Amino acid sequence: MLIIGENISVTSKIVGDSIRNRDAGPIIKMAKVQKEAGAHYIDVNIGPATKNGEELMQWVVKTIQGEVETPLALDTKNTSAMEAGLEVHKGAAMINSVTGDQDKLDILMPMAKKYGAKIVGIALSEKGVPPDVDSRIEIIMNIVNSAMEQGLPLSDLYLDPIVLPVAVLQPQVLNCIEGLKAFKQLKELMGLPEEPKTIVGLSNVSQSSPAELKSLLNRTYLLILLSHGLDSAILDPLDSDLMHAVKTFDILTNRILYAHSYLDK
Amino acid sequence: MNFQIPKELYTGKINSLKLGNEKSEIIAGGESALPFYNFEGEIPGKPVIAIDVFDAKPQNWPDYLLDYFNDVAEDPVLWAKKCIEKFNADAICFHLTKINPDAGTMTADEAADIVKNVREAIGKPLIVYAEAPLEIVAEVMKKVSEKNAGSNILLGWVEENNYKTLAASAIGYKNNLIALSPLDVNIAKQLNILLTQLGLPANKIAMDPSSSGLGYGIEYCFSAMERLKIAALLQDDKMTQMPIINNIAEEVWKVKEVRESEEVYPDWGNLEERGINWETISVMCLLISGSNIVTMRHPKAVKLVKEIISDLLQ
Repeated sequence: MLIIGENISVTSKIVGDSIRNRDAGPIIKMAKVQKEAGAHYIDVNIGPATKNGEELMQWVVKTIQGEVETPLALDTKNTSAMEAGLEVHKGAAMINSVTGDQDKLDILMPMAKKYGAKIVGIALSEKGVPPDVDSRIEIIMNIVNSAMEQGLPLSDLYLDPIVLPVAVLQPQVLNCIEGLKAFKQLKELMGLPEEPKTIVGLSNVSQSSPAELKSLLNRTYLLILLSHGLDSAILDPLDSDLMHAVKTFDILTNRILYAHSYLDK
Repeated sequence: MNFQIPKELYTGKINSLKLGNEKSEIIAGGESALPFYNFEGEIPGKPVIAIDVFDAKPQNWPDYLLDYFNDVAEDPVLWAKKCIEKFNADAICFHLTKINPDAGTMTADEAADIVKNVREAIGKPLIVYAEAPLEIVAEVMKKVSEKNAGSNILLGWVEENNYKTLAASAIGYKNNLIALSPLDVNIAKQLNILLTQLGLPANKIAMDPSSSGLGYGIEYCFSAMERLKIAALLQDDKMTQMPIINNIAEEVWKVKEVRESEEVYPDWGNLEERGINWETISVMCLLISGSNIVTMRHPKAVKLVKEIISDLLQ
């Protein structure tokens, strides 16, 4: 499974301050520890970034990649900041994310193609969160079609069935599972040349739940999704119980070779 | 539409194990494709053919094999030199047998000195297998490692239940170590984890998954090695990416198929030819399932195997 570390986000006070003051230390350290913990990509969420977004994104990308050898998932609603980040990014970046809205697709899909980036297509539209599984599929099919029109390899497209908090919208947690199952059928259903990948923003499921429940909710949910073929997740790689569960899943499904000390390496 | 041969994408790579130093240095492993699949990835070097040398004249070899070494069999230094100069060995696998109280009285210090003499005389990498109970192996090889510090000899062997003493000395004296597992991929991986946790760098380890000769269970070796290579190359499992060594010569040369005369078994044909073929086929089986270092004895089998390797890697 492709793991994207979620911890560099403006919503955290340390990261917010670090980005505002152009203080490289804390974000470099956060990138480093997430990579060491097993993250393949590091998510960089700079928020809406309405002011100086381009300069800000370039600073973050160069700062992290100058010290840590890792590709980044660039996370902002500001599309010109997104492009500015892609311009200076080394290796294949990930665009996180594009919704099913046509105006957004028309900008971001060609951008992904131009820069050889992976892109997360999320089952959201201007109408908000889709209420059921069918509306998730409708939005996602639009995203897949847009990728095809732009000639983006479908193996670079990551479809997100959108995880919602169990404490707030319990039925939607199941809808997300059902959405994932449906997305895994798209290749056959739409006659696609290859299978698009799938991804979730895992920690959403435990948002608004008490701190002592979060890790348990996250890892239990991840195991359900993995067993339905989930390819990738944005998660907290520093949660060692969660990472152990991922490894154990790989062991139990014969993806990696068992040894008594498999958790150690 | 033109037919395209499907290609496997490998995410992992076998570690490069440095054997010997300076002029004698060669690299075992380092490949990023399954054995001989150089059309799918990089195979930087050929498998290492190490010819067996013993610390005493072998008592149980067939005459037609011993004849090649009769003139040097009492002197390991001359024997090793002959294997390199005359029979084109890439490395020497030196077996210490007299350290076993059942076979001789060689002390750890004497063993370490004789290893040093052989190493300094040959100018090629040296593999040393101690043939004795594990406690003696650990004690003797510790001395061997000390007296050959920094020379990148490959020390045989440690097991899952007894690895700390010898591993510590391999770490301290910068030598390589053979990790022996009983035809069990999980234990092979486990031992690699334990050794690296102790501080032995992953690129100083060779795995010996245990070997059997043709007709005596070689298919078990084949599947175990295949599984380890797939984990290493396709699943990028760092703890299975150590090069594989097979101490196969011992297994080949003890079976009746290479010892019984044509008079006893007329259907089996010429004895020496049979022995050469038995060794060649056993070794090739292991090479195509992923062996990086093999031990061999018959000069003609060595020549044949080297020719096949060159053909396959062309």
